[in-house]
Amino acid sequence: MFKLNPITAKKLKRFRSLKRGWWSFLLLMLLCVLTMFAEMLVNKRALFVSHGGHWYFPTYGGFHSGREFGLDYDYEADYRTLQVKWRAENSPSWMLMPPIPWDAYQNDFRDGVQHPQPPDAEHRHFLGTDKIGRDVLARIFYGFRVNMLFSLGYVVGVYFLGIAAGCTMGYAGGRTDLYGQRLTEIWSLIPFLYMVMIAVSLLPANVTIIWRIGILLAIMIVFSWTGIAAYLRTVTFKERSRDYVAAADLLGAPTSRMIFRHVLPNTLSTLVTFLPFTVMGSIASLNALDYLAFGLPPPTPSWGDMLHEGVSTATTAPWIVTASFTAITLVLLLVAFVGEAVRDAFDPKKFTTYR
Amino acid sequence: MNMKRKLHATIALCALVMLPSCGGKKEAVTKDITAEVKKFYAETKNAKGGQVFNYKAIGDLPADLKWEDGSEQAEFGSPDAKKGGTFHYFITDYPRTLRHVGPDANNHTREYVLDYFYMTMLGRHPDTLEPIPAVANQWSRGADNRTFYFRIDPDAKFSDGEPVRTDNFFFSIFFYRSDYLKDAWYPDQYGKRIESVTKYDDLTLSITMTDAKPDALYHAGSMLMPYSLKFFKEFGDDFVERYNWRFVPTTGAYDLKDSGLKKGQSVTFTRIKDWWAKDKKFYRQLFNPDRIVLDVIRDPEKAVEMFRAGELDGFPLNLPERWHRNLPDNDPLVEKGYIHKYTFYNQVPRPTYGFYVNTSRPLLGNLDIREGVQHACNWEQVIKQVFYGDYTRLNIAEEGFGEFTDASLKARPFDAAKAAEFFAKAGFSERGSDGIFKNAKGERLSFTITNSYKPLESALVVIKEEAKKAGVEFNLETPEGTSAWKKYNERKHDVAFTAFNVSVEMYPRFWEDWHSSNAYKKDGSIQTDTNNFTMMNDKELDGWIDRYDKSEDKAEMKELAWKMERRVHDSAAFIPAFESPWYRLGAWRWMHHPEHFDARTARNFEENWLFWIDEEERTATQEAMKSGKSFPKVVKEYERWKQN
Repeated sequence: MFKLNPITAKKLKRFRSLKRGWWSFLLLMLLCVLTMFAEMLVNKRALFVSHGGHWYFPTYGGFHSGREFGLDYDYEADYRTLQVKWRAENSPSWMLMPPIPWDAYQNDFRDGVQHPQPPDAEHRHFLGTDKIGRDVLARIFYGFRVNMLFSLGYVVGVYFLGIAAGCTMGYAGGRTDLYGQRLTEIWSLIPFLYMVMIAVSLLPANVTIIWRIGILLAIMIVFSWTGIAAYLRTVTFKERSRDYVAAADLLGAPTSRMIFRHVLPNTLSTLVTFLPFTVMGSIASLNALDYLAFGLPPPTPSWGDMLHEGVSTATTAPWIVTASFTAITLVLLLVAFVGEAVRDAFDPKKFTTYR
Repeated sequence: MNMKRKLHATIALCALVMLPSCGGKKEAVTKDITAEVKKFYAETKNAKGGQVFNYKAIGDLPADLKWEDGSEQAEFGSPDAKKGGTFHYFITDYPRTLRHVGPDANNHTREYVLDYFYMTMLGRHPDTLEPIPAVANQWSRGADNRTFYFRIDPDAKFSDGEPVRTDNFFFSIFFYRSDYLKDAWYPDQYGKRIESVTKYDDLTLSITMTDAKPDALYHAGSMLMPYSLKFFKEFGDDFVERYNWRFVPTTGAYDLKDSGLKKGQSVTFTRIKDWWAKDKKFYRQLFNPDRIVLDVIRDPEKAVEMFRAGELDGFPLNLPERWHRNLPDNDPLVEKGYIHKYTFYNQVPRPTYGFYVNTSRPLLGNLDIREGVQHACNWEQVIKQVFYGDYTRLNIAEEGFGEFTDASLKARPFDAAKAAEFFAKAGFSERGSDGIFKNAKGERLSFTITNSYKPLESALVVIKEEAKKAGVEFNLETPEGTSAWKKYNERKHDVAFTAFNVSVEMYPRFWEDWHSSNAYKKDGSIQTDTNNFTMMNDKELDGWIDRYDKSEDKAEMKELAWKMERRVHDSAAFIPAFESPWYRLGAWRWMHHPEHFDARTARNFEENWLFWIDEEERTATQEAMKSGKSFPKVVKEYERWKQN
């Protein structure tokens, strides 16, 4: 059974007692859980279709052509209009649509309607549509998922590189440290934004979207690990000179054991404290890049891109800029609150024995 | 201490050296190109071995010349036009030079420095495209159809007062053939197309072009551009820097003084009060504002707001979004008649917006796949939903050339079923779980569209979504402007979304876009940096293009043009997108236009300068806005040149 170290348990308790941070954390987690099931909540595909004695589950299943449901085309069935049709015909076939029957890409091309359209509950565009008739709420929702997944990748990558480099420098010391430090200094001075722009413009035409996102992520990681490495180096340096490490060394513990069992666990509070702020940095820079059109390739739902569109239509379609701005601010705020609470909870002063 | 003293000494020495040059009024003219120019006139030979620059007596003019003066053409301005006032408008960037040619010269401000106002030898009537007087008041066509004679208007002079004479045209040929320009295009054109020029006297000159194309007179008349040798005396290998900020004395109606340049902020042109052509037919009703103030506004959204605030007098509303959203018909500014909205139907070759399919790519080299892709592009939907139904579908790349355009050729409509048939022929008959067709080898119909217009990205997103219905996946990328073009030029694209701007000419050009020598070198390797983005490689088509370019017979050229247009259409390598049959303008009510609004070939309201500004009305309108008084609403379409 997993048992918490009493100090950690205390820290967690303290974290829970910081109400603002704790509730922010819960809200963020709830959103993350919801967004994992985004396809069931916000989607153009039906959750469940009963037609001609068959049951279909298009959400996670494959593509069903219109012909399978008695329509006269071979491309993917448009479930929303099909539902309207069946209802009008009193057909025995029926389906269950998600609460928001739009995905992040589909253009709502009703006749005689020019987009962007303001929020409209009848067509279930709760936050309106953008310039080409895509649902703003759907794009915000999927945009949140993209942001979170991207941040996850970013944090893992940055921490991996940062810990590896920082730990090596701090633990080995001497020349490794001296040269390593200089290298990271030089590296951190390379302007990251320009590197992204150059790299993005050099990508060949046949790179698929998922690879493009991966490459963008990789570039961002490669140019962002130095901060973490610097902190890790200091902390490792400090721990390395502690008596318990020397004792372990005397007992003949191998380097790997000393690093992974003794030094690293003691740097954990530093890492945890920085975590929310790293996430914030990731969201902010990803959306900044999107705003400048160097980020996620279109038509990936992205807040920065929406913000850009929103600013240019601020006078004619204020709902786009309002929605994207609120989304970015809200999420950054939530993460910042969590960060603050984590920092306070892990603040060593609270538990110092020298009180 | 010692060191410091040395430093002081150096500074003193520098100051001493620099003083004389700073103290003088202006840098001494050390250069004089005159001798080089004379030598060039004497020594330059054309491809046939004859002299390029010739001198003859006035008596040597052929006796049977029939002189024309364009007097049969109608004026195209308005007799009601009033001179005066200030026209407020904007440029998107501050010019990096005032030169007509050389690096950075191709900027927004050049339209004002050169294109709109500068008078060349011959003008062109914007309705009929027939010649009208400019610097020349009479001209004549030689029997060979490639020699043209011009009589220079004795009144013609530059803005610095120097009269325009034959020598000014000789000099400009020297100028445009010079390597000092750091520009390859002009020396090539002037060397290749002008066979010779002859001076008969100070006011009479003839030019012989190398070929007798049907519109050779127009090209001769516009290539003959008067330049002042006095002004370009210091012309030389440092031309690019030396003349960077010098405004070339103009033959046109507007001068640019040093006081008109506010670095980074604005450029102001002033009307020359005693302009030599101000009372001449065709020009007396044009160029009406006294001053043209161009503010630098980089962000178009900001420019729209400044227009709405009355700081700009007019604003182009060509983008449907501008017309319907930024300034809808029910906007109070329009309702109360403060701002007028105009749609002017014109007849010009259209920019060739469309997909250039790279036929050298593995799958796209297959005609059936290209045919299928043609039917998978739902431009109709884009036009209807993204462009508010305002644009129409472009049918072929050579649209708008009158009889040279085969109007029976129509763009292939979106049709998922037809696309599927073509894909099946190419072996792509099964849809994957994502609905995209794949073949037996598992290859998917997935292509990347490289877009060079950020503002049109949303249209492509619709194309992408619709193409899924036809079983094609399009990936989109919009690299920064120049890197998109780099990609096309290196042929690294699958599908290029771009457009070539086509100038108003009598007949279309084919060689640049469709000749195989612009796709492959003789050794079979790829020819980069040309306009053949489709990598069209069709020997029969090449033959027709070569014949067309050599042909001097209009009927034959027309027949060939139709044949080539059909051939390109059949190759399915160009997917035409859209065109707009008009230009649109929002203008404050103090900006007036002729009754017919503009000339047939006008592509924007500035091209012909027919409008005028009424300053009294400006004041009256501003006061009316304060008091809430309104005027009749004006939303008007001018359909005189509308084509079905």
